[in-house]
Amino acid sequence: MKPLYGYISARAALCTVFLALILPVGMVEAQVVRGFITDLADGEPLEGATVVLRQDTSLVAGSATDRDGFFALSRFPVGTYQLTVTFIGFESVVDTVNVRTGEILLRNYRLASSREALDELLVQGDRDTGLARVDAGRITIQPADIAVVPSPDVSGDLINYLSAIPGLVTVGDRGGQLFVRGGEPWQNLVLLDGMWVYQPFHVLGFFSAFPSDILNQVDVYAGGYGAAYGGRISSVIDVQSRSGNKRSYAGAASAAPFVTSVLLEGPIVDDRVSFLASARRSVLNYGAENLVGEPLPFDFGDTFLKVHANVNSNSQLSITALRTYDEGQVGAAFQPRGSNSNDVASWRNQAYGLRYLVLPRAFPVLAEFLVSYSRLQTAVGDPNNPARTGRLGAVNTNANVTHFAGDLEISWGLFARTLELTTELGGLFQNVFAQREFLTEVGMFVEPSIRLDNGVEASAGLRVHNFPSKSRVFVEPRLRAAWDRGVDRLSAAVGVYHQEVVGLTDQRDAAGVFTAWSAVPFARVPSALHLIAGYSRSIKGRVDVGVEAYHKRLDGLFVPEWTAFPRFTTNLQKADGRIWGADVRLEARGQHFLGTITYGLSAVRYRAQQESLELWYGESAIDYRPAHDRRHQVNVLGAYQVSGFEISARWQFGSGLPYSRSLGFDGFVLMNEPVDVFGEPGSRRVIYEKPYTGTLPTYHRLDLSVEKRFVTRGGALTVQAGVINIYDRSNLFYLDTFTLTRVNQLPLIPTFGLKYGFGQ
Amino acid sequence: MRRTCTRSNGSFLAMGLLLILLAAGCEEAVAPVLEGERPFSLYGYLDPGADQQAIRVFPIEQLLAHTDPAPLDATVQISGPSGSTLLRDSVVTFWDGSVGHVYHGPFRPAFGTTYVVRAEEPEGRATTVSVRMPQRASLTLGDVEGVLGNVFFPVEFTGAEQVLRPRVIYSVESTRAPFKWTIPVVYSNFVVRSGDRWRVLVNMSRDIGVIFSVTGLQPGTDPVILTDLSVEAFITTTEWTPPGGDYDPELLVQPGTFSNVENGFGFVGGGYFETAHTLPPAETLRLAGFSNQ
Repeated sequence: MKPLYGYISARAALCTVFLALILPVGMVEAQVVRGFITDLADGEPLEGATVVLRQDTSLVAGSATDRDGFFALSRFPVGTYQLTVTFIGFESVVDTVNVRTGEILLRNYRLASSREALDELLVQGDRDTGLARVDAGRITIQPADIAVVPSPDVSGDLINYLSAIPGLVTVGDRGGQLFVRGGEPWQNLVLLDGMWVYQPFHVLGFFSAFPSDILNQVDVYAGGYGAAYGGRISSVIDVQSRSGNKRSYAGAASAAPFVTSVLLEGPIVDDRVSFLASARRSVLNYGAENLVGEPLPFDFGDTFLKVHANVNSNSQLSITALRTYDEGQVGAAFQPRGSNSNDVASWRNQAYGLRYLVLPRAFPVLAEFLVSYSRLQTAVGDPNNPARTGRLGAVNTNANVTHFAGDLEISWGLFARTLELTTELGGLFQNVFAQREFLTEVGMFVEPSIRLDNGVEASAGLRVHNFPSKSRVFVEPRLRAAWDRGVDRLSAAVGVYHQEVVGLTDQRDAAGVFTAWSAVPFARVPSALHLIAGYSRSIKGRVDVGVEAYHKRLDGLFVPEWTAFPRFTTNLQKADGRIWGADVRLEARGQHFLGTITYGLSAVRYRAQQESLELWYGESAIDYRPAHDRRHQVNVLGAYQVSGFEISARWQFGSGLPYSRSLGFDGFVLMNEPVDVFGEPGSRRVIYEKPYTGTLPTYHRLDLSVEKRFVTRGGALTVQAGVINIYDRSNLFYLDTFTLTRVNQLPLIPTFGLKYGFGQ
Repeated sequence: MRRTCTRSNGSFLAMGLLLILLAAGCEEAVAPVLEGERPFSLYGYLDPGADQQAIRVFPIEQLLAHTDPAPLDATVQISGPSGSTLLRDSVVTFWDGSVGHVYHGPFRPAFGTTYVVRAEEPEGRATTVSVRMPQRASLTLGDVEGVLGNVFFPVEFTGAEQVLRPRVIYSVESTRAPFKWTIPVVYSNFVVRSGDRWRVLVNMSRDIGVIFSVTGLQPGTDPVILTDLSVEAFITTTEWTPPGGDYDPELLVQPGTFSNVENGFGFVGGGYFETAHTLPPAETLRLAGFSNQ
């Protein structure tokens, strides 16, 4: 693999852009109007609301609210203005503000919904979310988006939508691993309200730790993320939960063959403090097992609680807690080869976080403080005496500040993480026996962003990331830019990323779920360079077409050494990765119809170095497709509303994943001396072809669901019926190439669900 | 619930769609083990110094499973200038509980001659290996010399292409214990080669430390009496040289890496043990730390 030539010059160019953007900060005019926009009905923040200042019908300043419903207007002269807040589906608010020299005004507004306009709509006509929305690797997801994807649960789950995004590869309907644009699961950063969640997907692939009902918004960065994010080299899934209803109690309970769930929310102090609580538990042995007709030895669940308080008009405090558990007797797929088939893989997440948001009255800034504790426990083997265990505990602290100066915003922040990593691996596993490590990461970022009247918006950031355990400091430039020209939108992103804490897995099987977290075992810290460019066009507000191309250059990776010994454990070898890909997306929508087609093309190449390769293959390094390289991916999604029924269908297709074929199995006797063949048993051996030259069968599946909502006096009853894998495709989940044991994904499953909600 | 795929060239659209749906639901086969022409892997060596020969035979199988204890359906024979000998299968249960096939039979190869070992299935697929026997080498033990704490003697193998695992075997006893010990000390790392002459300098003063360590006897307290001293090495040919020079199992386990077998894998060498015995004078042995009288 070629060296990173051009790497330094790319950094220099990014630094130049960064300086060019940060220089105008000195030209700030001091007057500021800022505040929060919330939903009058429940107090939830409204993201994307438009706030403008007008004087004599002339537009003076404008802004859109962020995920906290926050807006800030600045760089306008003193005077009296008409402030207008508009948001689709809500009544507009018009106010008069008189701004004096240097004054920093705080204005919070609550918008009343205009339900008659939206009740019958499946989706908004003009929206910022959706699969066809191309924004330099970012896709924004809202619960309404998730609702149109067929799901075995009446409430829906984030993972069902994620698996429809081109470039995101799951290993199927069991396993709980997500590969984003060629990256590996341990390279994903998953945040819930700023808390790190390390293994956020449940053992049954239809479910994540994030039920749709608790979500406010999810930002998925398949690459090219900004300077506020770091410590991971592949992707960011930033989940923002709802705050809970501050005006009235609401709740829901649902039952389906896979999970049951309850949700409750309401005010603790009217209009000031609210709570949102959710719990889910799998019921496979009562429901789905009978439908499938085969054992489904999985058990999982999650519990979520959030308390949100408007401390006063200019500050908010939220406390969030998440607990998940997963346990699965998943056959040979998750176990060391040859081990007891009754062994179990399990993992438990815990995350507790506090977030404080404040608008200092004296300064035109928004400040955010985050403190969280995340914990992950994993094990595989006999439940009473697991063969391998791993524990991770981390405390994360962040302080983020955003300055507002008209078109220019400057965000900066400080962060510190301390981690305790404990692994007991019962023998050699990826160069590690058993260990306990304490790690620290500290750093800061600064990221000015600018939004111009001509539709150009750009942010250029620098992140300084210090890994004391490696005595290394990395400066990571980031750049995101978009040019919105009415119906056309061009976007691009570039960034450099590093990751010190890594997940060690058996990468020969994409389905392996046991991950041992550790400091990177080599001196070289894994790094990535992301390049993304995209174009989208909106046709008459009803059709969106998008194209996005990307490249990731991964260096400092590690993969298991090749060996002909048929063993699970192995040593590590150095590797680099190169990923090229492109997505094509089409979304068409009408008042009662939504259709989406996406195609993802991806090529992932790893180049591994191992001393013995020269002897074996005559080359010092070997190029191959890793086990998660899904070359082609198609998703077709359709939803239709008729006579009060919501019908949705999804067809997924994925080309086969690579795997290593063999020519058979024999034995090996080390002939280092005249061996007594009557006394030396030798070892079993696999006669492999060159690594990953085989291709597993293609994956495809059609899911269908029909949903009807009945409004009653006290609430609403939702009835859902559906079929998963409607043509009973025998999709391969796992293939043991040693015993030819094949584990298929779930067959045709009819599903039924009931959900009763009140106050919603 | 598995179905087999059906294929059709039907011209009607409805029929085609129905078939597509049916085909979509069927199980797509995957063949992770490719059909190979190589039937066996062979390990062992032919010994011109022995009347019995034995070769370990691994069938190359499609599944990684325990070896079938039933006799292998294969014939293995050794062919040379003086004719052929058919070996017979022995199913051996090893110390670790595994089972293997060792083909053995009476045969004495001649020095400096090449033989072919052929393992053949009834269907005709065969694995062969050509094994060259070494020429007979000579072993010379030099005089024991030295002073107190530094006693050594030279050993020289002459006329050998390759010398493996030279070692000195000490047979000792002690009046403090009712045992007799046979303790080998390997000298593989102390061999100096010059053409076909391989020279080893045996350091008895150092080796007695190994003897104390192995026996648990205490130097200066427990007497150690040497009853026999033999020097032994395996004389073989240049074929018995691993790539890279090291016998690293992680390296050599790769099929074909250290192999002279055709249409199969493994390694079969040719060689014999050259041995010589001596018992140095008691006075010299005492200088080395032994208690011989």
